[in-house]
Amino acid sequence: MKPAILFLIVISLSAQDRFDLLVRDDFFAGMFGDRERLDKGMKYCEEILRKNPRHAQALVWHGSGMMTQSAAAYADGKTPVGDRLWRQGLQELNRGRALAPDDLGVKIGRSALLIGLAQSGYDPEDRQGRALLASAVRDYEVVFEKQKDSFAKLSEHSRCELLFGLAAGWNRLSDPGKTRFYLESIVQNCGGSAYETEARQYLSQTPMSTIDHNCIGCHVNKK
Amino acid sequence: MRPASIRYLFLILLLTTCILADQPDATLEPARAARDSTDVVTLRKEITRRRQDGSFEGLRRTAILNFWLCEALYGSNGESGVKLAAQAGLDAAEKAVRLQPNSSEAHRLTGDLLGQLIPHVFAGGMRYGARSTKEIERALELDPKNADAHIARATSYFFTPSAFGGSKEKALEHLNQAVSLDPKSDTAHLWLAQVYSDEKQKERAIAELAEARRINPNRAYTRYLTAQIGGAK
Repeated sequence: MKPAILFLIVISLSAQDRFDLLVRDDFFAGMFGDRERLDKGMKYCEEILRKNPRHAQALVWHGSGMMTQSAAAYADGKTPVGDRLWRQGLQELNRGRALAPDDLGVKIGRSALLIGLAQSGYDPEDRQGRALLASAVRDYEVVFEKQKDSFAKLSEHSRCELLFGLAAGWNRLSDPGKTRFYLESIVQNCGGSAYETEARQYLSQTPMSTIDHNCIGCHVNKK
Repeated sequence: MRPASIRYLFLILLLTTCILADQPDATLEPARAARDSTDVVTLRKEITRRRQDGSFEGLRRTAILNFWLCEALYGSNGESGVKLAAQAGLDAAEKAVRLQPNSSEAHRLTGDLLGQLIPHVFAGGMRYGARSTKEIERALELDPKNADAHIARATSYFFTPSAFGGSKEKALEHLNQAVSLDPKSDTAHLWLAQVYSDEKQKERAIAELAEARRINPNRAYTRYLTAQIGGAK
């Protein structure tokens, strides 16, 4: 039983694309249990969506907020409400992706959330879950590909969380070759860091255990 | 019979009842042995046999049996069946809660079985983690001396990332409390071993495994952990 919940948010975009900077602190606080801050973030996104219902990044953040709210509903014993919020949240994530297929901010927000969620529970026989995870991992690969030329210039956190997300995602999708490739990429690109140590631990195992990576050094609950 | 004899008889009856209340459920002992030897077939038969029993006791036992079936499945490479067993156990535990909302054990089982379900459902931790914790905390509120609820709370503290309220220290506190409440609980020692192992305190982990083995020499899970962590076979 591994109730590990984590959100690997890799931020590596130029300033003009950084919608996340406006809302992330409130959403992260919400994910850590601060319902008031979550409401604040949700209201901000709702304002944006009222003016522009096709604002893809606002949809992704709002969807992730609904999924967070669903957990609170489940905890309160309101299962039907939790199910509804969960479904709607997922729909918003997917709608955001469909509206802006080339927006890296959308890809990163959605993929980070879904890969993190898969680490907190994953059934390989659940087709919907598998498809969601596969889409998230593929999007992360697009992000990796598009940033290849400037990859070394990104912060350690951005580089290494992206690579760990890819390793963890492929690990759950049962692709040992790609899992190993991204773990080795972490060793190459994150040398001397806690990421490297963790990657080496997995690489030394036979058979390799399931990758449970906790986001390192970020997303503290900022007031 | 003289009044003094009646009083005496009543006292014996009362004592016997108290002693029995502290004993493990004798009707479940063969199933516990099946859990220990990862005998999935026997556990499934037992679950099927009790399927029609909708009483509180029947539901409680069905939940326990499914919880044990999860352990037996893990031990016999039957992990793919865990999700179904956890779900069936959870259904029974939730019904038991509805029948007796103040039963600590029913809440404990609900929380524990949600915990079993979490790794087998997409985003299980996010969807059910908080609820699992809440059920276990309710169990402790209703009966602070429920050793199994302390173990359940400890596992929740153990597996939850620290950013989300997890704490190895608190896990140890609850496990030590479980041991003091139920010194015959090999399960508490098995979890102590896992927490110590995770904290890189190998000697302590091995000592806990030895204690678990002393209490219950037949449990496959103990052998599995011994192979993982170390210590005498």
